[in-house]
Order: sequence, then structure tokens, then C-alpha cells
Amino acid sequence: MRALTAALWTLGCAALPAPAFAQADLIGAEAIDIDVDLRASVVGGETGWLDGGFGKLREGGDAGETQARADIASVNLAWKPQLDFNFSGLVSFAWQPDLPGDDVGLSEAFVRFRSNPGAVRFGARAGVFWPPVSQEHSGSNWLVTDSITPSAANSWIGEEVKVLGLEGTVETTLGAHELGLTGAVFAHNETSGTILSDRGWALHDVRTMTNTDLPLPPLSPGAAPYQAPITSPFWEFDDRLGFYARADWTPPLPVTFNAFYYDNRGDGVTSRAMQSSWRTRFWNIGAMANLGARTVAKSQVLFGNTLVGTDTPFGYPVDVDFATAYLLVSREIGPGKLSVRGDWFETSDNSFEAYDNNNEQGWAAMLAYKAEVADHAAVVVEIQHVSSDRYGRAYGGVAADQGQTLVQTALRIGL
Amino acid sequence: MTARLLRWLGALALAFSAVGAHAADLTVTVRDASGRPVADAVVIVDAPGRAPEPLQVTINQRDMQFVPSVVVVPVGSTIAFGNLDPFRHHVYSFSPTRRFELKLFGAGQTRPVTFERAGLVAIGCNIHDAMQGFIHVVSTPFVRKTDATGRVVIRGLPGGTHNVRVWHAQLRAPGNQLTLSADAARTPTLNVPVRLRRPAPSHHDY
Repeated sequence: MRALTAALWTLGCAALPAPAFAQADLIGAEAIDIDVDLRASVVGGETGWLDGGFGKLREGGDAGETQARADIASVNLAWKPQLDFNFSGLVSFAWQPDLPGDDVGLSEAFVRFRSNPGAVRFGARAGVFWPPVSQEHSGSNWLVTDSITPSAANSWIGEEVKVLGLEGTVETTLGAHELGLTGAVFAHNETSGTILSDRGWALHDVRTMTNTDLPLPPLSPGAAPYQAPITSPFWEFDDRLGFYARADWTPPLPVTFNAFYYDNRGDGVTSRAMQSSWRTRFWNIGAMANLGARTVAKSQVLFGNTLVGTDTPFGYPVDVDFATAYLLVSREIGPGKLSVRGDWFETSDNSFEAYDNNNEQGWAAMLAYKAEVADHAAVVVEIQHVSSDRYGRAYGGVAADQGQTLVQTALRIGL
Repeated sequence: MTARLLRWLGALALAFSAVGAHAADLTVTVRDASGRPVADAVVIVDAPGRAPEPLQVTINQRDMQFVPSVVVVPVGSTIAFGNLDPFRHHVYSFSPTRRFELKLFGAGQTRPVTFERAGLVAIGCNIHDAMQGFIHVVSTPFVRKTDATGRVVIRGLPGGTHNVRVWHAQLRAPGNQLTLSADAARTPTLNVPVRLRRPAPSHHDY
């Protein structure tokens, strides 16, 4: 396990060219992407989760007071050498000033192989990356494409599902049907499930780097003695490999489907600095459809379970089922694209609710308009509302039922 | 000798006038199942004719698309591939008719490719999977691409019945192509209803 981890780190983080690629295009402006996201926002309601509260958005109010802010949301730098037709690499970093603790970190680092186009096409990735779940992120800096805020499902992927892995893909066609299969083994996703249990779902565009510590809200009396007030999603300490698999199917219709299964195979008991290995498993079912020439619909349903500790006559110390779904419809209107999204989310606690209640229900709605204003600049205006009921807010002295609306605009500069 | 030459020239003139008398134009209109005109369908009439002269054509990469996405060029033509996007493209073809690979990394950069064999060349971008383009390299003068009205006129067809091939990138038929027959002298217009696939959204580029 340690040997595999070391090998993957070497492959992924270095992503250095072999001498044979000395003539390839490795450096220079064309191999570098820089994305800057400047943000202005107005929001009221509860304190945001990044500031130690239970708020479910990137920004929160100040104990109920409406706040207006203008800041740098992120500065992202990606190096994407194209070694030859089949081999490429990506190393990306992000500075996210809103993150407590280390706000600069490594986002992704991998080498990638794709065989030549043909009846069967093979691919592979090795290094640090997000598993292929989100239908809302793309590009070398893994940014949200149609809006500022991704769905609850993909916000969580960005928080707790980054891996160090080795992934293989096979693509082919069967008649008029396009098929794809992907499989991977991975490490470094030990604490996945912690924030989903202790804080619940959230909707924001903060992404976990390899060195990121995410803050947790005030913990329950049952959890506080055993859990640090932060979670480090990229830690590895139980030396067990996880795996994921994905299938893609595109029939001869304007629609494509995918199914994804993930199991981090955490042992549930190993711990380090008051953070435990969690056993997290989930399914993600995704679909995208072209509704006419200018309209695209996207949807994901994500559901699973997370456990920590050993089984007792009363159940596991933490045993939480989680589920979320969204429907996003985007339509090109005028010089830009209008997007509407609805989210539903829920966590269901299966044990020790009297001491550590992690139940939650909620929904969210978003309206966003994105327009390119110049060759290298885009503006996104978004209104995002979220409403949720979480008993655990009582651990921080906050009413369980909360609603919050965030109005924000982003100026995105890509170089 | 002079008389024989005059007789030969006379026969040649007669033959030309006969061909001229039978030459006809064929108007083809391609529409989809809803009756909407289909642009960028390639109509090829398999009739004998002199190969056209090579051309110089440009295909640009703009807004992550090949513009134009379908071109028809005579054998021997040269296509200049230009990048008008502020980011990189890596254009390629693995079609047997013409294999090539071009790194168009700089905005405004242009690279030429010459096409010496007739056939269909599918082009793509190694960085952006959703980009698709098609080049029809032809040795016949009787070929055109439909305009926005779905219409094309093939001029000067020799007499007789000929195969008329209609190709479109999204056409639901083997090889994306339908084959009909027509005698332009008797039936100068041909309406071709086609069924098109609507492509699915492209996979995300993780």
C-alpha cells in the first residue's frame, strides 16, 4: 500500500516529462491557465460554515445581520503539458483566501494517457484528482461552468472526495450506442463523510486542496470528545485502498447517462489527531440531455452511507445515510446562458440520536446568468436560496430551521 | 488530310453539341422529419466529369468549433487550419484518407494540410472531444453542400440516370449516407427527406 501510494505520488505530483518528450510543448504561455475569480456578495441569515457556523452557503450573515462583501474568491494556476498525442499532464494549484488555515494548495496533479481514436479507446490517469462525478465542473482548474455555486452533490465532491488514485477507462461503440467503463483504486480519502455527518450538506464552490483543513460547526456532546473541530479530507492513515467504478451510456438519442459507485473502504477505527477513518460508500446516477439546440438539462442523484467506529449492540457510533438530487436547466439567451437549478438533500441518522443527532432535510433553488464580456473575461450573476432543518444546530445555540439567500456576482478572468 | 481533319473536327463539334443539349441542372432540397431545411448536407452525383482544380480553403477553430464544420474540396486542395480561440487546440485525423496531427497552440496560428486522395476525412481536437469536423475530398465536379435553406443545385450534369448520394454528419443511415437515383433532364428537382440524430451533450472533460 505504502509502495503504491509513493509510486502514485511520484507520478501525480511530479508529472515530469521523460527525456523522450524533450521536444514536446511543456512550458510557455500555451501550457499555463490562470483563472481569477473576483466576487461581490450580499447575504443575511445564519453564520456561514467557513466562519464556524452551520450556514450552508459560501458566505453567511453575521449572527443574522446582512453582510455585503467584495473579495478574491480564488486564484487558480494550472500547468497542462501536452507531451505527445497520447500523453498529457496536469498540475493545478489554487489560492482560496476564504479557507481557514492553509489557503494555498495543490488541487490536482496527474499524468494521463489516451490511446488513438479507434473502435476501442483506452485511457488512464495516475495522480491526485477528483473522481469523475461532477457534471458541473470542468477545465484545468476544475471550476463550475454554468453558475457560481454547484449543487449540493458536487459541493460535497469538491469537499470530501479528492483522491490519490490510479484510474483506467475503456470507451467503445456498440451499434449506435457509445459505452464507457472506468475503474480506479485510490488512497488519501480517509475522512470522507465527516463533514457530511457533522455539518450536513452545503452549496458552495470552495474546493479541498491536498493540505486543506475544513472547519466543522459546533459538535454534539456525543461527537466532541472524539472529533477534532476540523476535518482533513485528503489524509491517509489506515493504509487501505478504496475503489470506484463508473459506466457511461450514450444511446442514439440526445441524452447520456452515467452510474458511479464509490467505496473508500475505511476501517472505521484508525485515527490520527482526533480524526478517524470513516467508511463511506455512495452511488451517483447522472444524466444530461439536449432539449433543443440551445437548452441542456443535467441531473444527478447521489446517495450512500457513512460509518465510523465499531458495531455495538446499539449500532455504530456514527451511522448516517445521505442523499441528494438536483435538476439543472441551462439555456442560451442573448449573449450568455441562463441557468436554473433545484436541489433536494437529506441526511438520516441511524444511531445514538440522543447524543449526536445528524438528521437533516433541506432544499435549494438557484438562478444564474453567465455572459462572456471579453475574450478573457466572464461575468456571472447568481441568486441562491437554501432552506434546511437540522436538529444539530442546537449544539451551537441556533434554531434548527433556517433559510438563507445569497446574491453574488463573479468576475472571472481567464488567461 | 485536310478533309479528314475537317471531318474529325466536325464530329467533335457534334459530340459537344450533343452533350450540351443533354446537360441538365439538378436541384436537391434536404429536409428533416419536421420539414426543416438541413444545412451542411453534402450531395454528390456519381456522373462522369472532369476533376475540378484544387482549392485553397480555411477551417478555423472558433468558440471550440470547427468553422466551417463541413467542407468539400477537390483532390489536391490545401486547407489552412487556424486557431481563433484564446486557448490551445490539437487538431487531428485518423481517417485512412488523410492522417495528420497539428498543434495549434497559439491564438492566430495557422497550419496548412494538403489532401491528395479522395474520401471522407473526420477531424477532431485532442484537447476538446466535443469538436468534430468533416472534409469531403472529391474528384468529381458534381458535388455541393446544402445552404441554410437545405438546397443545392448541381449544374451541367450529363444525360442519363445517376446515383445521387446525400451525406450528413447526423444522418440516420449506414455511413451517414442515403443513395438515390435521378435523371436531371426528366426530373430537375429532388426532395430528400432525412432523419437526423440529435447529439447528446458532450461528456464533461474531467
